[in-house]
Amino acid sequence: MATQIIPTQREVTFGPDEIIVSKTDLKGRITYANRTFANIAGYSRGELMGAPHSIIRHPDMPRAVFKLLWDRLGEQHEVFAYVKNMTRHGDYYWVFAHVTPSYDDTGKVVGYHSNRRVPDRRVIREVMEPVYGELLRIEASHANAKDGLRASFGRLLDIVKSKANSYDELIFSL
Amino acid sequence: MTSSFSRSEAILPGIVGLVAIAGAIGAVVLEARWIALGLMIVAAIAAAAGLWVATHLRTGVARAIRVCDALGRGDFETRDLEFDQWGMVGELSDAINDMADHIDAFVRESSAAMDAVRHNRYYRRILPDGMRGALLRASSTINEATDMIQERVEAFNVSTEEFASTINSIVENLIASSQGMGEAATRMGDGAGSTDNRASSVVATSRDASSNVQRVAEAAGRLSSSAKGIGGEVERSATIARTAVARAEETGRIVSGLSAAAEKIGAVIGLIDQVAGQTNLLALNATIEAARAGEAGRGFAVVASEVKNLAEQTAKATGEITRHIAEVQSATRAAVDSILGIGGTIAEIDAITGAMRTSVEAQITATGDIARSVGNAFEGTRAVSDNIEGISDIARETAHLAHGILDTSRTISAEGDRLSGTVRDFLIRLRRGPLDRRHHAEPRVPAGHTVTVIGETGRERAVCVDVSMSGAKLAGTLPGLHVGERLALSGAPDVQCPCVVRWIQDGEFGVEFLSAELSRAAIERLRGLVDTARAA
Repeated sequence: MATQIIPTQREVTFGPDEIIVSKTDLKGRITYANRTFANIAGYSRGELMGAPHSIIRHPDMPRAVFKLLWDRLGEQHEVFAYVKNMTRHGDYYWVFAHVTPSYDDTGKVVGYHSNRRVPDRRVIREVMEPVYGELLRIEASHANAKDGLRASFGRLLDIVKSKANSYDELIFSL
Repeated sequence: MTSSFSRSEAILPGIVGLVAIAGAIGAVVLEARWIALGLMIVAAIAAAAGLWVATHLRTGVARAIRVCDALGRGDFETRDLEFDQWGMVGELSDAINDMADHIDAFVRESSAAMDAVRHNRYYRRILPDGMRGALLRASSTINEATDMIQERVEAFNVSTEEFASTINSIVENLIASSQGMGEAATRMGDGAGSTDNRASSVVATSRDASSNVQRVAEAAGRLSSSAKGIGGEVERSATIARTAVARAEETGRIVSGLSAAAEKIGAVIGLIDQVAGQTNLLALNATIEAARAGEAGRGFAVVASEVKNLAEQTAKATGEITRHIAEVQSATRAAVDSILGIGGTIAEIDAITGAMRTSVEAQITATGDIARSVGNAFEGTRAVSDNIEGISDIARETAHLAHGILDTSRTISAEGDRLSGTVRDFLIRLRRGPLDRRHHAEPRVPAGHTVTVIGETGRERAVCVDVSMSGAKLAGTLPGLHVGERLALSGAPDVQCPCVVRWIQDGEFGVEFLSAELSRAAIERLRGLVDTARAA
């Protein structure tokens, strides 16, 4: 579905006291979306249920960021990420996403939960857009998508390492 | 959606029904049968609508109850998934979902923030965006608490660092001092030992010297008394010599008297010789006279011849006496000379004896001095010997003390090491506490395989003692390894786990994996190790 949407340069926003909430199963299929999510993304919650979370993925997002996100979730770590999402109509909206595993009573991971908050625009402008732009260029510069991802992921880790002890620390220092 | 109209859904059919029934009753009273029937139908429709609305509400409320029950049990995965319901049911559903979302967000945020604190990460704060009311206040409280914990942990770290460095420098000083003390004690002990040895040998020598001096003193005493004896003998021989000189002088005088007597005899003999000559002449004269007198004179002639013979014999005897007297005189002169010689010799002897007496007296004085000096020397050497024995005793005691000091310094040194070790262990335990708790939180499993440790300075082999998803304990000594050093562990080909050294102790060290940098392969490798070991 996402491939059919042509990105626009229009930005949509949501309120600072609002949270975009979604839950997915282990494969990233949406199992719950709140009203704010539905409202900003332009889908009904019925449409979102069962859809892959990548339905709102924006082509400006480097794949390395999602690799980092899924790697960390695989370790059962929470992940913070600044993410540029795309609405049904191709508009974009930036979020500061916090993704955590959800556990059942036996402690087994049964899915993932994401809360998205309004991001600091300064961080988006000064850090994320340049970094993501660079990663995206790295990914695009390789004919083989796998090589591109490896190169851009390596670059992402280098950036993290050069700035802070860990990715989390870097994110919280911004 | 939340119009006041939609909220009247629950009561609107009832009101319509009641109004219709009231109208119908009025129509019956007014005997308007058809109107009554119509209103009854309206009331029935209203009742049916009410029933339908009630059913809708019941299922909506039932879902709400189910979701609330789940939330009440702490299950924040449950939501009302019947979206976009009309009326109050839809509002209720959204309200409950929103409530669940906010509480869920708070629970996830607060537990993540607290989990970060548990893992000694203090940068993680609850994001207050989207939180309101009590949740926002609780978030602020938790964040403030985290700030406080961070400050305290930092202060604690600074304090423990200071404490560690202070204790280390104290212990270093203590060990250095005690080593210095030990060395000094060793030198002191050695010195005392050698003093003791020397003193012992000096004591022996001094005892020898003392007994030698004693013997010398005795000899000097004997020499002194023998010198005194010699002095007596010399005195006696001097007396004898003086007596001999007197006697020799007396003898000389006697012999000189004898010589004078001999000369007087000579004079007498000369007189006799003169008498004898005159006698001879008289005899001769007598003979001549006798011859003239012839025979008468013959007898006389014989007497005259006899007298002549006598005179001749007297002359001969006096000649002989004169010769003898001359011999006597020469013998006397020789005797006088001899006696004079004897007297001279004896005088010489006397002089010599006098000199000897002076010498002997000097000798007596000297031997007395010697004896006294030697006695003093004997006393001196005995005092020296006693003193040296005292020194020897002190040296032995000093050596004993030095051994004691050496033992004490060794004990101090060992205690210093122990203190240093204890403080180090204490601080490691103190700092490792949170990491250990993390290991308990993250199942830690025994390993035992060899891994390659890629450090800043090179590669080393180490044994992985145990491992969890968040860290590992390794056994091995790596040169220059330090806390905070970044390493990479490789336990399988092409898999590297970046990590940071958190503690080092007794040939073991603990690392925390840099989770953000772990590759998918590394995570799978770690999970494989943990799961396999747990299954076993």
